[in-house]
Amino acid sequence: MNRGSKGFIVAMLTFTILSSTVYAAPVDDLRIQLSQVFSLVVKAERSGGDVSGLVAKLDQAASLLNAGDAESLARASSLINQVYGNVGNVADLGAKATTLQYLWAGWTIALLGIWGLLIYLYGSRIFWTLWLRLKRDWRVEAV
Amino acid sequence: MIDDEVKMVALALIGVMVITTAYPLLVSHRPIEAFSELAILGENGRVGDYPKSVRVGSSFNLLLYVGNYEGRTEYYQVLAKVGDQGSNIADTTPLIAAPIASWDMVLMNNQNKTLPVTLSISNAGTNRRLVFELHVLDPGSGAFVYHQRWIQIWLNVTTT
Repeated sequence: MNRGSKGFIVAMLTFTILSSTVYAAPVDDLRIQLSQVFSLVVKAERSGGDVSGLVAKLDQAASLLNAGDAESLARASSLINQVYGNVGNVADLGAKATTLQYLWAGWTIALLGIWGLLIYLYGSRIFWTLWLRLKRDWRVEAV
Repeated sequence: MIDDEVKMVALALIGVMVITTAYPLLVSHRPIEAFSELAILGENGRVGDYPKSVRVGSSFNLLLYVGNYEGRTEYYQVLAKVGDQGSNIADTTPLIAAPIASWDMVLMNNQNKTLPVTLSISNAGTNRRLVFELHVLDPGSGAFVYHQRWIQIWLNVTTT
């Protein structure tokens, strides 16, 4: 397990403990939760995940924090929990997509390298064979 | 001689294709220039259309604009503070004063937001400075840090 994965797990555990101990979530507590979930979203973004939907929800939660009334804070808390519930999947999907992207690029580069080697070794022979086939009906005359 | 030319042309084409494939992967996560934007507009959305004088405790409206071009998602916090002619604020040091209001927003790279804000100032005085500071969350420490962006408008706050 690398340092990034450990940090991700620690942040998720911290958020779980904090969110379970907050009963009436005041603004400051919700801001801390939002910060922690934001950190998870940043990690998901770095792993290549499409976080646009999660960020939109977090921004909506931030706007509700600005409003500050009880109903807004309850909605903000709900949105933060929704993002927390989805961020792991987005991070996993992003990591898989990034791995596939790099594998595909590596495969393409390797294939091009093999083509280069084949052309280097056999290119001229193939070229002249084709050239001779194309010109086999030609007659050479002295001018 | 011609064999070598054929080889060189073929290898050059292969080289171009390799670079074309690899280059987007190498540069895709690097912004050209990372920066954030902070601006204040008058309530009609115009720069300079600010109130010059307000009464103590009465509300006035402004538009707050924040843009993210940092190359990654950012959690911003804008703090509004009140100072005077002697107050010290710079790109490296925020104004030492308690915020009278704050606004949070989370923006993706290349995203901006304009937010209508309503403020009121509780202390009278001439040449008061209404300062807006941009702070950004450092995900490593979990704390907001001053992002070296600030803007101010000058106000006379009157009792009548």
